[in-house]
Amino acid sequence: MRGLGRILRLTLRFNWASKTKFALLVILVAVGMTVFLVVTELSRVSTEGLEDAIEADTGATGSYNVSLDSDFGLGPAELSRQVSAALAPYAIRPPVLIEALPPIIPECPPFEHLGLQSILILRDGGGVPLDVPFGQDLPFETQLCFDGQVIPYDAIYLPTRSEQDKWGLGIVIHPTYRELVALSTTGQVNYNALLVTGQQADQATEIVESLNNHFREAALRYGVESASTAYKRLDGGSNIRTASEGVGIVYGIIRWGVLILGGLGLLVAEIIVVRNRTWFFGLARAVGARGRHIAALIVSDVLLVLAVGTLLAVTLTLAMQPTADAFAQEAFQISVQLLHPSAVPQLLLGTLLVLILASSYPALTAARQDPLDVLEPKTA
Amino acid sequence: MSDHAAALSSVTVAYPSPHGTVTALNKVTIGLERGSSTAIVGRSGSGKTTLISVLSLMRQPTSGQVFLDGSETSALSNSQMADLRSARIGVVFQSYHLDPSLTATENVMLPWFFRSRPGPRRRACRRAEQILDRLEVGDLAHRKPNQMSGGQRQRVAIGRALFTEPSLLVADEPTGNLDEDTANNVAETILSLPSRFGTTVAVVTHDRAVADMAGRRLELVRGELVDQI
Repeated sequence: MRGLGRILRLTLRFNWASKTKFALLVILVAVGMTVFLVVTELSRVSTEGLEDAIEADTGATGSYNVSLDSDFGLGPAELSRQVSAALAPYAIRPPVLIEALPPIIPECPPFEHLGLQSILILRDGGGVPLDVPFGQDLPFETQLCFDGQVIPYDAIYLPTRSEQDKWGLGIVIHPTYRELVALSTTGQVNYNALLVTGQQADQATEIVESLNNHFREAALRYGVESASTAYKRLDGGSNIRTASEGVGIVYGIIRWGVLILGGLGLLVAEIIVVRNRTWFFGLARAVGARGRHIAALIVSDVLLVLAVGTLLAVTLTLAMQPTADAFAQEAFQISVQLLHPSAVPQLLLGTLLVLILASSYPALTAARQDPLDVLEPKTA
Repeated sequence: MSDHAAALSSVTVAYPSPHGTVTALNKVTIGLERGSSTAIVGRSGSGKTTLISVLSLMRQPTSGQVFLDGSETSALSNSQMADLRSARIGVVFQSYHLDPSLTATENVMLPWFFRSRPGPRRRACRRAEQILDRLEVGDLAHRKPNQMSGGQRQRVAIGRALFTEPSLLVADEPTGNLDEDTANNVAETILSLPSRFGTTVAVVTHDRAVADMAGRRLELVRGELVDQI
């Protein structure tokens, strides 16, 4: 480490003596890194926004609605937990259990003219009621009435079109009122599990098999042949997904391209440095320096420029953050974070790549310098 | 060979050229006694610089043996040669080779930056300043090369060669870029090193006056040693 300190001291002296060259290289790195950070954030915001829109319109990648033939006498909460355990190897987020009670005609305004309505109860993988915005956009006087019993507006949720595509048609109520509705109806209760695998490839056979294996004993005991025999794949829009991936790739090419161009600029500068300082490297060899000392001089020269340039880029992006965020909020109604935590590992990786790109060849060339080169005439 | 700081035994250096093999040194045998000064003279192309490069372990001979402080060096690796150069050999060049971005003190202590056991920086600075004082350029310690005359630059370069207290100092045309008065002063400085520092000195020169100041003179003609006075 002490040896590195001495090499760094020499590097600092050389750069102090060539302030213009150092400043220009730092600006080159700072501009490259700033563009890298800005494009990284643009990429994140646009692809995430696009993914959200695609998911809202066409469902998350690998979405399935799997029908269950029975609750096997477990009750909805326990059934949710068991289904969640059975599907855990495939799920990228906890499955949702949808309990569809038999259709029923509501008895009071505003739903009494709508005829038969399915009532849905949603639970997460732990059997806990799913957190949907009950009462949202419903007038205070809204209510559902069955057999003279009332479900108030803040226990009712009317699903959106895309939610109905996933959950099925019906009105969602809070599980607290399940028994009230169940006692008012007769007929078959249907159970469906909503699963997201995140995989484009079809895994329906494995999913159904996993459910059947998990519930085999319960099904036999309950007198049904299998846990599930039907499923529906919910996601679509493969073309728009491909287009979204394409956008991500284009952004990737731009930001890594900018970084590589910056690295090539640094490489050219270092090759010139090596050519101009041939005599010095020869002299250093003549006074006892080893090849690794000379290579370390080049690497530390690039490292110094990169470190200062990257720090400047980080400072610039932090300074631009309020303006960029205000602009994005006003123009696109989105929030941007130019130095997003997810960009930091990429920034470090990019810095390392540029260091390797810009210093390897010059360091090797300089380290191979023959001390005899110093015997060539040179005026200092 | 044990009482010699450096010695060459039947050293030949040959290298290929477009016109066939060129023999720069042909079976040269010399010994440099400890604390002596030796001038190596000869016309251009006689092999003086090649002799210096072999003596300073910058070049391995094609054949023959090179001894430094009694030890044969041909079997040494590049790293071991670098260590020997760092510890026991000082080299002074015709063109000074001072780094323009470093002060005189920093130029003198340049070997410190690359030594395996360098010691504290403050001690190295003090030592560099003492050397500059003894070479009568102590007042230039914090100046850069472009603020010095040719003679002053060459004294700083001599200081750098002495920094590691080498047993052998080799100088390649150290007065070649200097006017006559300055050249005499620098030559006196270099050739007084054996008595002042106990260093063995070998100087390659064209200048008869400089050669006459040395305790011994060797003449090279077409790579062969023809005269020893």
